[in-house]
Amino acid sequence: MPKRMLAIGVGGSGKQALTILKERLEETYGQVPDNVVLLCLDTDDLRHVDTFAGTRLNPQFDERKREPEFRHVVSKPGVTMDAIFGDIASGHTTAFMYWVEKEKLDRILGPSERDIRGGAQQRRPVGRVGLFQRWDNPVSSSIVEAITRMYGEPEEEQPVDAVRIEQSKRLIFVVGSVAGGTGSGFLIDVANLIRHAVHSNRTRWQSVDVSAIVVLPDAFSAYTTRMNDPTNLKPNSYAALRELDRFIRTHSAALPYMIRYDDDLRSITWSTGQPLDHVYLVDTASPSTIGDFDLSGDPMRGVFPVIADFIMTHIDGSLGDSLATLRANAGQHYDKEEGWQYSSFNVMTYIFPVDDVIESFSYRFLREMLARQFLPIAEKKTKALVEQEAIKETERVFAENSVGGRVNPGVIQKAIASTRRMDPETADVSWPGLFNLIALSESAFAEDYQDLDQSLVYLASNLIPTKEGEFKHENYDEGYPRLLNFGEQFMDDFLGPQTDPDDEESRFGGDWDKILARYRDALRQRFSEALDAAVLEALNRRDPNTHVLERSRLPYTRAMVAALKDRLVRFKALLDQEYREQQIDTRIRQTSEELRNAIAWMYETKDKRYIIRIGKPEARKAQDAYIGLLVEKMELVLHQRIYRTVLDVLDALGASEQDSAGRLSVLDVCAQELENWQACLQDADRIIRDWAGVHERNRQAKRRVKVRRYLTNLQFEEQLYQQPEHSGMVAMQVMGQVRGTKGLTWQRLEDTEPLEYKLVTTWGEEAKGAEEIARKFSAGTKQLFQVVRQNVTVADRVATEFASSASFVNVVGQVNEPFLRYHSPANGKPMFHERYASFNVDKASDEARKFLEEAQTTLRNQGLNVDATAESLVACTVAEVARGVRLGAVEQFTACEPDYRGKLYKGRESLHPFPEEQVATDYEGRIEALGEPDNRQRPLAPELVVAMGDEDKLRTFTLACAYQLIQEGTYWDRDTGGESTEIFLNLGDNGSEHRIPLSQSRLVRELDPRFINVTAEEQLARLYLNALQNFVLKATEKRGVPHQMVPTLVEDLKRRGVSLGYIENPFTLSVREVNEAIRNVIEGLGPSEEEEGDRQRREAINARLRVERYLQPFLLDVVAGQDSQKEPKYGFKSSTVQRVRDMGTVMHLILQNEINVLLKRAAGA
Amino acid sequence: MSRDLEIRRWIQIGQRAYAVTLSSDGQYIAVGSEQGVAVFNKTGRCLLTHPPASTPLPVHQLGATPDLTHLYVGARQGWLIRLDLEREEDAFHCRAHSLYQADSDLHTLSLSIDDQLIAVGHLSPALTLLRTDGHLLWRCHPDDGTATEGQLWAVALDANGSTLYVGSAGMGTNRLAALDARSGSPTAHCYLEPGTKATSLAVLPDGKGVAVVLAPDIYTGCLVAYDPGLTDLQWERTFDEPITALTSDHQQPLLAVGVGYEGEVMVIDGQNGRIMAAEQTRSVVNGLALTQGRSLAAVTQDKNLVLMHYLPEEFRL
Repeated sequence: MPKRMLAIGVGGSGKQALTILKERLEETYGQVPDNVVLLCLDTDDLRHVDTFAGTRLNPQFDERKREPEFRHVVSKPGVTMDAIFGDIASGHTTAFMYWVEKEKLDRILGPSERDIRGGAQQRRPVGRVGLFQRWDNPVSSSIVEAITRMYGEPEEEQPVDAVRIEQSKRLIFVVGSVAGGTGSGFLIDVANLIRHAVHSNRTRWQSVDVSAIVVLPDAFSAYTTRMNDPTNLKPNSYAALRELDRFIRTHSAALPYMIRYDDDLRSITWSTGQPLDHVYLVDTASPSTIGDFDLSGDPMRGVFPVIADFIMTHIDGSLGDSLATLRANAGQHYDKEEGWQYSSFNVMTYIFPVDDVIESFSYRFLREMLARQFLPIAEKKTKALVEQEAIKETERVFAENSVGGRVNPGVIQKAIASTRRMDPETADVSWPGLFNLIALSESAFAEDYQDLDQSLVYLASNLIPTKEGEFKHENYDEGYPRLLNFGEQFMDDFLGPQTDPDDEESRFGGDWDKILARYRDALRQRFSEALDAAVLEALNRRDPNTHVLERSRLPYTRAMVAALKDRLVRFKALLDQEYREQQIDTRIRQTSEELRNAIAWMYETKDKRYIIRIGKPEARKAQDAYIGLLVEKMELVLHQRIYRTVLDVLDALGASEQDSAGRLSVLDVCAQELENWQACLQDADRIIRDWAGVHERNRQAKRRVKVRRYLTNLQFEEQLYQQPEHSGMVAMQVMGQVRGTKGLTWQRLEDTEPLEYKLVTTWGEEAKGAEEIARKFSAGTKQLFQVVRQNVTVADRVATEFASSASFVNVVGQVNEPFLRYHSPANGKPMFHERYASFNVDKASDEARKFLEEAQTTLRNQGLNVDATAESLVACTVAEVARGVRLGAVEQFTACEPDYRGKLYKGRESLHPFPEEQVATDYEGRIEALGEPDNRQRPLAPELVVAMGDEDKLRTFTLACAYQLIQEGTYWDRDTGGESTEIFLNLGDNGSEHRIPLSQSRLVRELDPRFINVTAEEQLARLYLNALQNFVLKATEKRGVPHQMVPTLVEDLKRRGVSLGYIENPFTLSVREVNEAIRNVIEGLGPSEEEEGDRQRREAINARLRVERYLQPFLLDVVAGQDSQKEPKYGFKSSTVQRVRDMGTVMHLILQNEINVLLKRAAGA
Repeated sequence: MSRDLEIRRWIQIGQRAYAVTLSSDGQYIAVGSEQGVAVFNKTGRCLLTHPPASTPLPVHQLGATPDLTHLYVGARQGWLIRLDLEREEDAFHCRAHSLYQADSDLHTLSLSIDDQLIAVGHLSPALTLLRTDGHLLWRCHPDDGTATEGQLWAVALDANGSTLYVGSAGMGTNRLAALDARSGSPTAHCYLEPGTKATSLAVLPDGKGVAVVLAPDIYTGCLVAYDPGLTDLQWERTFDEPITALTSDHQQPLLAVGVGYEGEVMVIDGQNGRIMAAEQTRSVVNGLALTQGRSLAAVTQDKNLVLMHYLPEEFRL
């Protein structure tokens, strides 16, 4: 089980390292495991390029409802740096006023750089402003969410031994570089907010280890040509590291340090301990810088992967425990006094990239499957064979009365029978014959046929000439309109009303049409069902023995539909030919002409009187002609209408693209559906091909990672793919049938709608669109190929790829230095090294096991911790962790100092977002002015810097010391009854004593084991430093903190175990009050107005007295360490520890400045 | 002293509030907050919010006509919007008109009492004067090649809209000036001590001059009053803490200031700088409004609107 771990990336480097970590997690576990949480915070948005080998952090909630992996820390709408400056000027923000160097920033920021929405632009204060803007949401809230998810439920039983405690710890890694603006500006605050979150939930989160992995600036040397201004890389790095050094080495419960992110109480955090348990520095080279151990160049191939792989070593359940075992003793190699607080590492990973291989297999399989089943057949001969087979099946299937249990329309059967090559049937194109073609059933045919036939009989029997039957006594002039009216009535009834009086053909909607109109739609429906049954049967046809889908189902089915359409087209042509031969249309035209002649004849003869009857009279002959022609014409018209109906039916079924109503024919509907599916699957294939291409390129990119070896090759993967339990089994699941469950199956999209299909797969419902199909198919196939994980181990691959176990041991042995160049003599000791080799032999072959057992023995003899039960079956990790280096020995740190000082002192850049370093660097820049050869410009000791956050307080403390308001004295502890020497501030007035203890010797002794062994003077000096720290951090008012808030702060600190008991009214001592006490001393020096009336002279004398009686003696005696004969004696500046020497130097600078001012005033008089 | 200035009501805004204004009768209070504008009556009932909650508009500046028919809203993104308010029984309705846009560059606003002019002090080196219908009268702006000397401008229009007082709070040396409002040309100006910033301005009634908040550093504040020509310093008062808000009464010679981290609100005699009354709001005061010489409203950093009542000396028992 992966260990619980949270990785927080800050800034661009954090984002890249986490992206690569995610890639490794997916490689190892198939996805980011639930126990592992990734969170990236950056002022720049997630961009397209923030991808490694296809892996990208997720800026949204994922499908498992996990919180976003990426959070954009962007300033609030409308807030620019100018707005911040405006708020500071108006006193509206207490959070920024402590630390924003507004003058410097206002000077250096161009107009466009004041908009802080697009990243920190390599500026640490701008990055930190972004964090302050969003400290609550998303920064703090996402950290709390991430820890909550990562921590899970606390153990019911807490382990008691150190190793088990360490192993059970939840790990938090903060990853970032110190060279840019965001990571460099965020790092400490993110660590602080993590601590704040953990502390605020300490009842639940008791076992957390927070580490930072810090990328040093050399990692970006390849980027510098692409950056607008790379000159901040080194200064930023130096600035960030020295701040970090202060937080790591100095911050403790004894010196509670407040960081306030906003104006409300909730935003107040306390740094009461080192914010990070371990700090790993990552350089681009190891001290000896050989071969694989040079990570310079693209950090995506060197530095970031090694960080990701180092974090991976902690996630692996087994290797993580091994690391924790030694980490439990890491404290032995750290020393705050000496500064040995930093670590580094080296990792080399041998990987069988199982996830990549599975993905490659998936793409390959899918493309093979799509080509096999669905895509057009490229090979001509095969294509011809498939088409021939489809034609045969079409002839066979559609010649039958039913298809798949569905009635096959007679017209289709007739079309097949009439168009076959051998012995084709001839179509009967008489109107009964044609009507028979579209018959729906025998009974319906009989009924409709009878209606049609009876209509003609009705016509013939009702056209009775004059002087016949019931019209025996009718005159011809009466018979003429009667016959004409009957004819018109008949046509109105059976052909429909004439809509255009000039067009005899414009009759529609009569009884004949009503009968014939039903056929097209009914046959459409019937044929659709029959075709649908045939198509689904063809698409889903499986080999009866193997149950695997037969090949080329989609091309085959398309060929069937095309063949059927061809038959219908040909049949329609045959009918057309036959019909033409009948000359129905010509005959109708001729009959119509004759009919009109007959009407004219009737008209002309209707009024003639015939006295002598010889034969039929002219009028009777005219009526007979009319009757005969009308009957003939109506029969021809019926024939024509039935023929047109048959054609429309044929068109509706597929002989044409559309029927007369403009609807797509059944066959075209089907062909279009299949064509669309094929086009869609072709698109899906193209997409998968593109993905596969990208994937292979990504794999190539991974192969270029310097700290990994991918133990695979094309030949091996081919062999793996071909194994029956891999592609064979997947093929059976996808295209075949496993235990009654069918793989790919075509189904109707809607149960009631024929000829619209969906493709149901083993991995879920149908997908819509090529992209979704490609995605779902890929995901589904990848899932099926997970079986590969069970069949390959890195142990096997190691045994195969290395010639002998000795050669493997030799390679492992090369990982013996961290990626950190440091100067061992400057460090005062070599770093402590832990080395690990981790792999899993549980599922390895016997040969591989033997191979690694041999290697294991040798490696153990060489002092490596060998873990043969690694959780990961596909990674063999060789790791080295080195602990205990001080910043001053780190080459990358010391190399940055000249650039850092250059930027600082030329006033070009605001590098520090903490006031302590801002003030400290100001004093550092003035040390050279003292002109002391052994007191040169240097970084002041962090123990002093922590007390330099407020220059007014520093100056007031120094002057209070000089004016003897701050002095040593005896403290009687009323609780213990013990006495100790402490440093007191005396605010008594007029001889009264109001002593406020500032130092706490008990704590100093506890924290400084060397304290009791130093001289009394040295002890006192250290107490002065402690007094200064307490004066600044505990006793005096915090600017921007109202008095009513103080009890809350004190209470909060008490809950954190911070003792303020010996400080009288913490955070309430006003600097003004101390300054007033100093003024009282100064005024006490005189002369009084009575003694010297002239104000200027009075001030001059007073100035001289101040220098002579207080400032100069304190400077020489206590600070500089000179007796009255200017002989050296102990002074702060000659202390054995740097922090006191530095305090002496800073006091010297303050006093010298004060003395100079006073001497000028004295001289002015 | 605190009894003379009495807190009558605390109203939780729920959002950080930056600006406040009162109707001349003290019955209605408009508040600009991170969410937008809200209008309350003096019982604390919210009668209008703008815009809807789903589209927050961080409002940092407000100006209003005495009858609260027009409310001028400065949003942090740089929009200057006029809200035309209509009262209907117990609610207000409003229509918004965009008057001006200065991308993320509005710092202060001042409205002339006659509702004719509105002055904008920018964060950048720029000043703008508009008619209240949005018509631009003049502008000094870097985009036009007429950048001002100084930035982070505080502005205050005098009662008849003829003089615009401006003070800058940028880095280096800052300026205090009186400009002819119609033309923008200076009629008087002076440079402040290097490092001192003019962070806020308020005109004194009856053309008596202008009160200016000067900040020599970020930890202290000084309130001074100059004559209309900026030649005579009439009085000054220094505070150990920053002055975070300043306003003046249009009718009475009174000023109100918010001072320090405990949000002390002080009523000050505009004629001599004497502190007439003071009360603590417990949190930094971001904005103040004063009317009728009695009604005060303050918005504080801890998301409260504080309604106060000042009892002038002559009415005390």
